[in-house]
Amino acid sequence: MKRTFKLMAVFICVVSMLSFTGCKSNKQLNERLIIQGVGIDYTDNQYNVTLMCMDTVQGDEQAPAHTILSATGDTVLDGVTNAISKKGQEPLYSHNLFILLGDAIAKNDAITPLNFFVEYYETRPTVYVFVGDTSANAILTAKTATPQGIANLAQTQYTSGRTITAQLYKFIEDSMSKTQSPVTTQLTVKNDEVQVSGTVVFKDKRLAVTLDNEESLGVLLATGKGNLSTAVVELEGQSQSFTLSNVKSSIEVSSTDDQLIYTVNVTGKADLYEGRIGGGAGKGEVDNKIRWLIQKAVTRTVNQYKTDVLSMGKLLRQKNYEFYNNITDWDKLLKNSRANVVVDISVE
Amino acid sequence: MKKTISVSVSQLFIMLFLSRIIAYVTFSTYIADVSQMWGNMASLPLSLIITLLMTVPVYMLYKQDKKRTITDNGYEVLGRLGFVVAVVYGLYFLWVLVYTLTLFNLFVTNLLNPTISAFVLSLAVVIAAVYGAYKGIEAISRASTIVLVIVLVAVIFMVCTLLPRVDSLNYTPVFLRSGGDIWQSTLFMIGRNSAIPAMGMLLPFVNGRVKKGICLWAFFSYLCIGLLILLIVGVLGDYISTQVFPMYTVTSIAGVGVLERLDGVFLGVWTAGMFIKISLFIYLLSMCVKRIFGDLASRVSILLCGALVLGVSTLTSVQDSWLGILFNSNVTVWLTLITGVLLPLLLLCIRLIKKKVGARHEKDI
Repeated sequence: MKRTFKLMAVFICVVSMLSFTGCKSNKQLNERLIIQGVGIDYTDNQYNVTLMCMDTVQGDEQAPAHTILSATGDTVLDGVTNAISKKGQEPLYSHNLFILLGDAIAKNDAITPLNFFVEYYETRPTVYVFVGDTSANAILTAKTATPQGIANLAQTQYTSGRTITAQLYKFIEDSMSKTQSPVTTQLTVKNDEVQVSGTVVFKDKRLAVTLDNEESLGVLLATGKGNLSTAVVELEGQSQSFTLSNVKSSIEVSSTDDQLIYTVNVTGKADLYEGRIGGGAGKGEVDNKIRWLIQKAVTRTVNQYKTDVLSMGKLLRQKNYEFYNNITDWDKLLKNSRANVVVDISVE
Repeated sequence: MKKTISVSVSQLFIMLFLSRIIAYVTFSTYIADVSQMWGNMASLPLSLIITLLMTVPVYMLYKQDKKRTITDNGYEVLGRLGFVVAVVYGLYFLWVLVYTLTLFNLFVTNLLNPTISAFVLSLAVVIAAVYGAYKGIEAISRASTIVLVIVLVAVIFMVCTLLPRVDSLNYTPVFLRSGGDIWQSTLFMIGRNSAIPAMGMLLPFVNGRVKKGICLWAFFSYLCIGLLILLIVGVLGDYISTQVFPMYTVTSIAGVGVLERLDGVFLGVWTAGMFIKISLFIYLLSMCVKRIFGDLASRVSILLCGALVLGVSTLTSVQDSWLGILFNSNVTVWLTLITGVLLPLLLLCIRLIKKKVGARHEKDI
């Protein structure tokens, strides 16, 4: 009886496994449309979607190739569906590396087109979000643009500190906050090559300001993310470089009715290079340079454009919840805010 | 000679710990407002205390006669009406099974692959669980020890890989929530204490220090839940409110080096934990059936229970109104309170009254 029951159970398991999707409706990888990059533009009330898809026919492991598919639609999913209908293959979104928003859509509404990627079951929350200084289509169709090459540009934040990159879940999370301003990398095309051109800051779903390399570095330093970044100290006759490590920062925020007063404390270690024998920069110059970078960044982002890139709103939410809950004019607080930057870098 | 069934205290409470953790890991928009997940932190200490208090009636019944399950106590105290107790507990265990399996179905069909046949998947899970239940509580407890190791490894890996992604600014003051909100969160937590009615059936099979086991089970369950909440909220922040199963989302973010996109691993771990829970509760359901219909039903009761769970779960998944009732927090809380606290208390009180009446009668004589 026991043996019969076991055999019956095994038989039922085998039979039921045959009906699983993996056995019944299996598709080989080269029969799927593997989407590696998505570009979204918006013109004439239509979403123009550009897909970078893996070309499993032309490419191989040593020289991966990709194809470009473009189409328009009333929604992002509509545009994607129209694009993939040109190939007739079932799309695979789980290998998507990035989402690139065109400049027009970034200036109008950057969040609505991302809702599809937040809600669709196959997409991943860790894809990078980029913004182009021109249309997404123009960037993705650049001669030397590849999906992996574009995705690797996100590492610029960690290798040089010239930009700040957000992943989808972080970007959306910041956009949902009533005070926080989402930031991410801006891309451009120069000499047919896709490059990083700065950092964009959003406010109320729209692009508010574009930061250059120095301002991006200033924001990274103020938020304690400036490890391995490099900067230049201008000296009389010759400039000198330094790299930073062990960067830590803390921000203390206090508030009155119509002003935020915040202190940014930055510590770390700097290694100086390209020095002159018998002279060169020292701790004082490095501290001054970092202070200048941070001050430049916060003056532009916080005071001028009233964007909270330093998470001061979240800090207030933690430390003074009552005040945070009763904020009526956050813009006014940011505009009138006063920063005090304290830097203490040890120089090697 | 009838074989005595016996499990150690640690084995029993490992099974119950896994059941409790699986209940929380499936926290989703189907059963609660996920944006309130952080608020559950405030209710954890209160929930722990209430949970320990909830175990007192079941423990007291066990202390009075260590060989009797709660259904046995029902027959002993209420006589022929004792079958009502077995029916109530049987229905409760069926509820828990349908709840668990339906949630799993919804997860798989909505988040993994909408083309997958939910019925076939449930059938596979139920067949495996029926086999586990058929092998008995000792086999389930041995399997749960292995599953615990897998779960702990997964949790440790998740903690290590997600810690760098935690943003401490996502943590807002917890105790500023209103008393009403904290109480609602507490009710939500204690409603998921299906382990307490299960204890009523399983404690007679346990060797060891039960009181210590109960305390450790409650403490580590809530500790683990607190840790998961800290991780999920720290990583996702406000993004939680956009996700149906936040736990699943956070595992798709976890990763180190080439080990990334671990949502598949999470699914495997969850399924393993769910297998333990479903096996255990099918076994408990069959114990209630056996108690009412006797040993003749013992062979087929497990198979029948499995078929019943599969049928009800499949029907529930396709009826929105049934889903609304199944996932209603108030219903879950009341069912748990009735089976975990009120019925054991009632049996204790009736036994006490009977004892006093009997003693007075003897005195009169």
